[in-house]
Amino acid sequence: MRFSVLASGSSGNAIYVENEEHAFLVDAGLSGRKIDELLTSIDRNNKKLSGILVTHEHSDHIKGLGIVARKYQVPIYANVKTWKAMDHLVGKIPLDQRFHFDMETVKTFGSLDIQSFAVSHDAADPMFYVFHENGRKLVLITDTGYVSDRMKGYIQGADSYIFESNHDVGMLQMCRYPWSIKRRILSDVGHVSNEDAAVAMSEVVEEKPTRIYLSHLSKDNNMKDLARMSVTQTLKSCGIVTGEFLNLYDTDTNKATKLVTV
Amino acid sequence: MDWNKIKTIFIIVFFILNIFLFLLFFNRYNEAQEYQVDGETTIQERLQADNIRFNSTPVDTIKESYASGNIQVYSFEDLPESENQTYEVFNSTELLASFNEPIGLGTLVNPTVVNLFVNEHVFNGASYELFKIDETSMEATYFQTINNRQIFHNQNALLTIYWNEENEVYKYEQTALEDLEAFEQTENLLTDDTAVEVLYQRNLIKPNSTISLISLGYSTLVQLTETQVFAPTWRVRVELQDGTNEDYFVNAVEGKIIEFSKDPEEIVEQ
Repeated sequence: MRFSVLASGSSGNAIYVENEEHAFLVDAGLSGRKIDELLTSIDRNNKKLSGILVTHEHSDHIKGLGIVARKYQVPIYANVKTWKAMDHLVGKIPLDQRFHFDMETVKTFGSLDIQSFAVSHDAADPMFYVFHENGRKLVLITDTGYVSDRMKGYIQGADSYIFESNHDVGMLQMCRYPWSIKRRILSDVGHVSNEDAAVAMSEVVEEKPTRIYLSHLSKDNNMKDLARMSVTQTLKSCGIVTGEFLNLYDTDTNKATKLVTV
Repeated sequence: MDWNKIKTIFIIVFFILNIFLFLLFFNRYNEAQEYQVDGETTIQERLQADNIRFNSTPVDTIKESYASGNIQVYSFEDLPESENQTYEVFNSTELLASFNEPIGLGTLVNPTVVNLFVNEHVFNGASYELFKIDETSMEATYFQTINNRQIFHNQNALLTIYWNEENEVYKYEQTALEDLEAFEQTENLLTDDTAVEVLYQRNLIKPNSTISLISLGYSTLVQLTETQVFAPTWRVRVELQDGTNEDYFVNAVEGKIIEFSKDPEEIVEQ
């Protein structure tokens, strides 16, 4: 199983996951052309996609969904409430491309098992995914206000994580956003901060080689270096030294990460 | 009824009407040009109207990165051996150096002589830059620098020199940051003019004053458990009519005014 974070952040999200038989996009929150361009940058293309898995209906996750699905006849998977919420946003999708992926279920595609789990976000019925293949595990978890014990159960002991590290609380509190937006981001249905993400990571990682991609960084209230420093230091205070068995990686709003094997 | 005559009359009437409307438009346009809209007064014109003068060199920085550093822990092994200096370290991070034989600065204490003293006698003195000299309390305050830019009012990047009535330095106190490095990502900065505009719009620059210095430095943005993160910050020094100086600080990325509280841990952004 291999993956690349094509783009991550409030300007658009898309993650590419593949094995020998199948290839998936998780969300298509960029223009169709941009997704093409990012896939080309990792030597892949839209034509071989087996499906697009949708996490929730916010525009930074579905902006290019309709275009990519129609152009390449790619099946779309989402839960019922998300379908309802995004139906009018993605344009007409032919019936034979519309599939349900219910919350907290597993779908099997050859040797690849994809498991959905609920996150806490202000969308209709937001969920993220865990990919399993031959005992290897890849977790995708962004767009959640906090990481509950139930979520921790799903994401425990993965080999790779694409983990939200959205903001620095101090920067958010001092920034120019209206108070209502700040309150939303800081709430249980908002986004997880650098420190909270690190504490959650410390509770789910196991002592084996683990990659964590810090994702969905706020453009205004975080920076790659700051997120990395903050997560590193919080993990250290929780007894985990990065660089030993656990390594942190950056993601970008505009540049795909290297395609790596889980 | 002669249809051709009616047509001709219509053409003539509409032709005259068009000329009339064009003249009307032309007059209105010319009248509008004679008025100046209040909102379009430039900031320079408003500063000029308030008799606020510039006596500082414009700074051309367009892009700069955030930076970070860790609080330095002093160890006696790292301090240079000196027969004339006695070192004491408090909380591992505050150095007090006392001179057994105080060192004279000369008859007149000015930036040149204090800088010479700092470079010659202070541990890592070259990494600090003078912020102000207070002749009444007989002390000079220095801020540590990153890439030759001062870190403003950071209790962990401070040097204070004390002298007696004979202008002899008898001690200095020092805190320092180490592992100072700039972030990879650079940010587009607000210009120094915008920083002045921000201060002026908040009525912080009083009429009949002079902007005597504008410089770019850093101020603390975030404090992590081990590391501090610094944001590019404009310092604007304003000389008031009575000769006193006031320093203002504006975050050079977001344009917010920063007030440094007397509590060393507290930074207030407006």
